[in-house]
Amino acid sequence: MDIQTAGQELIALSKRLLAQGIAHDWDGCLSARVQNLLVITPEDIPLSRLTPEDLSLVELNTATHTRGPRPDRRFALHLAVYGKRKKFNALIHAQSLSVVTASKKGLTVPPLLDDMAQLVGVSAKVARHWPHRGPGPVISAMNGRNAVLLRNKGGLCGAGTFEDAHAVAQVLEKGCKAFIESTFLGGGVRINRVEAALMRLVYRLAYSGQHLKNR
Amino acid sequence: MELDEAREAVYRAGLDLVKEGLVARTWGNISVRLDDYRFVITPSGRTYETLKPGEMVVVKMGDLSHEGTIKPSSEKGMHAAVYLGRPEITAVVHTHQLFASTVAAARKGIKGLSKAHARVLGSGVACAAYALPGSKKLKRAAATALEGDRRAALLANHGALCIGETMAEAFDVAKTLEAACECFIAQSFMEKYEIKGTDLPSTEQMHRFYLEKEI
Repeated sequence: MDIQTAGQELIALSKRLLAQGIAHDWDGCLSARVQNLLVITPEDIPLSRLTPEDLSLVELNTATHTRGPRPDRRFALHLAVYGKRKKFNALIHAQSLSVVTASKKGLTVPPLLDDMAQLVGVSAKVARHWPHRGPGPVISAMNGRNAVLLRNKGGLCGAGTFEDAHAVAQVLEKGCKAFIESTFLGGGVRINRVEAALMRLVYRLAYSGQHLKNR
Repeated sequence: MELDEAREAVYRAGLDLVKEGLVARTWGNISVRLDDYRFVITPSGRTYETLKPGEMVVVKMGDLSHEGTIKPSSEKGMHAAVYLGRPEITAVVHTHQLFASTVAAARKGIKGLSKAHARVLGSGVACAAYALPGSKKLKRAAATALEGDRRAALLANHGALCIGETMAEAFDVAKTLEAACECFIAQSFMEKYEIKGTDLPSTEQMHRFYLEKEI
């Protein structure tokens, strides 16, 4: 993918995230890895007004801002996550209602739904010490997972493509909603850890590529 | 029903369910009875927006074999069990809708349906016992949960199954189920925390309470 295509995809997705309540206009943030560059939303322009010229480019290896307006303040976190997770090419900050509530509550969200186990992982952990201890707690809490809760600030979702990162954000919202609201019904029943891990493995090895193969 | 008509009905229903937010991406599946021995179902792992009517798959109820090279949904057995057990049913919709999934995560049935909801859903909504997606156990559990005059079942930790004598009816069942689950969650919340009043709380209000009350 080239910078231009990544930028177009990023802007198109940002509009969908706004419409779906997954991102906030002034505080939303998403990025893409394109070869050695980070393409990321700027700090001072709302998602609803983004144009391709408004996107910021940062070199992944040197963290040097090379083009566009000032990058989002969370760009260092994105650089660190891309550095650690080589299969991630897209990151989205999820700010939907249930994800934010769960991040404020500060509890690990267990897999109560099978698609949460498949797309997010065996749980969604909270990075309690971000941002004051840097990206380390986020990377640690996200280990083996496609999403992490950022204490009080919603979630961070990553995947190989924007489409997949979007799906992770949708499923994280559903999983957090089920976790929170099932407490009013007496509590959710979690899928056991072995089955959750198995579901994730099968999804990653077999099902996630079906949209390309099954034609 | 003619094959082309059935394929078009399944295709259209997929797009409509996405528009209503009852399914997203590749989740859920939809089918229509073709005759006494076969039904037409959505393919495995494909996003609804990229499908064409001609890609809907014909499956035999008896042995679950399919026509053509495109694989049917892995939940085909659950659909077949419904058609074999309920001769009056011609449409089956498996959704991953938000409120229904939350109740399914608690593995609860819905008690005390309003008259308006009961007219569409039948005498009650049961939750099928937990089973892995695509398994024979899930197929049997779903069929049991739909016994009698029931039009919808919750699938533990998974989603919902809605049926109808027409696709329009199955679609209406899915929407009514979502409304009934939303009410059930709000009523359960009020009962649990002994909140008096006739107005049901909004999701935002329940989340604020959840954060403040150290549940």
